[in-house]
Amino acid sequence: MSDEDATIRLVLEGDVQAFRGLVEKYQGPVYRLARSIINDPVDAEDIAQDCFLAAFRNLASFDPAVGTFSVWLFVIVRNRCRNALKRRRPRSLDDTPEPFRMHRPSDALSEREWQHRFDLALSSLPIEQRTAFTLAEIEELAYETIAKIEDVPLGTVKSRIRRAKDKLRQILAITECEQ
Amino acid sequence: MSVNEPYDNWLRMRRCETPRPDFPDRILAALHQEQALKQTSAVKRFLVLAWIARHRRVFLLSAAGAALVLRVIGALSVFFPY
Repeated sequence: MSDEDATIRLVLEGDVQAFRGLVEKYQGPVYRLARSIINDPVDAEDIAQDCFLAAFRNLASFDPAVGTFSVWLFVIVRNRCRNALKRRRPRSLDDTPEPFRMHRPSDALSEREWQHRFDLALSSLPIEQRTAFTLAEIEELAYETIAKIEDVPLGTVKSRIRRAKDKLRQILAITECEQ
Repeated sequence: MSVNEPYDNWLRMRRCETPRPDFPDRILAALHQEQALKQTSAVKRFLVLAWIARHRRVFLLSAAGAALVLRVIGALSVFFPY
């Protein structure tokens, strides 16, 4: 039995304090996925907290035979983020990302602006592409794992990531042409 | 400057992001609060059941009385359909 399985068993037996181990291990990945989907650090932290509370309440329904704890947790995050986005008001035209410009790295402010614009570009992608891109690029998960989280065939994950990269590259290409 | 440099920096920055340091404490505090509320509800349930067990005659008579009142209202409602 792995350390993680032992921790889960302790939590199921009523040891609330043992849950801290799981929170400390997964707080980064959970927060980053929510941050990428929601594109708001404060809301992302609220959703991450909500996800851990939901995971604690429903831990008895977690079946290690079906998948790992991290996959189960990421599914909760994905669903919560999608629900949060549905509740949000529709975007106004002012929120539409502009094409971003490349800047020299010595220019710290411009670099920050580039990153901000890249975040906006990422948030303009459809949620399925954004989720798959984040899990592959930021969390460096295997495509097979992403397919389990998204509950889609492997080919769908590959095409979502390819489309996401193509769209982001398109924005970069526009920027290159403008320079 | 390579075309990928801004992207690599963005990726590095994103991979380091974490919630605020007190995040696990806040989760644990919320869970402890939830557990305390659950225990309070369990105690309340136990007290109600204990009262019913101790005063089952009163409880059964009240329940029978309430059922009788409901039947009478049901029977009378035939004359007052709306």
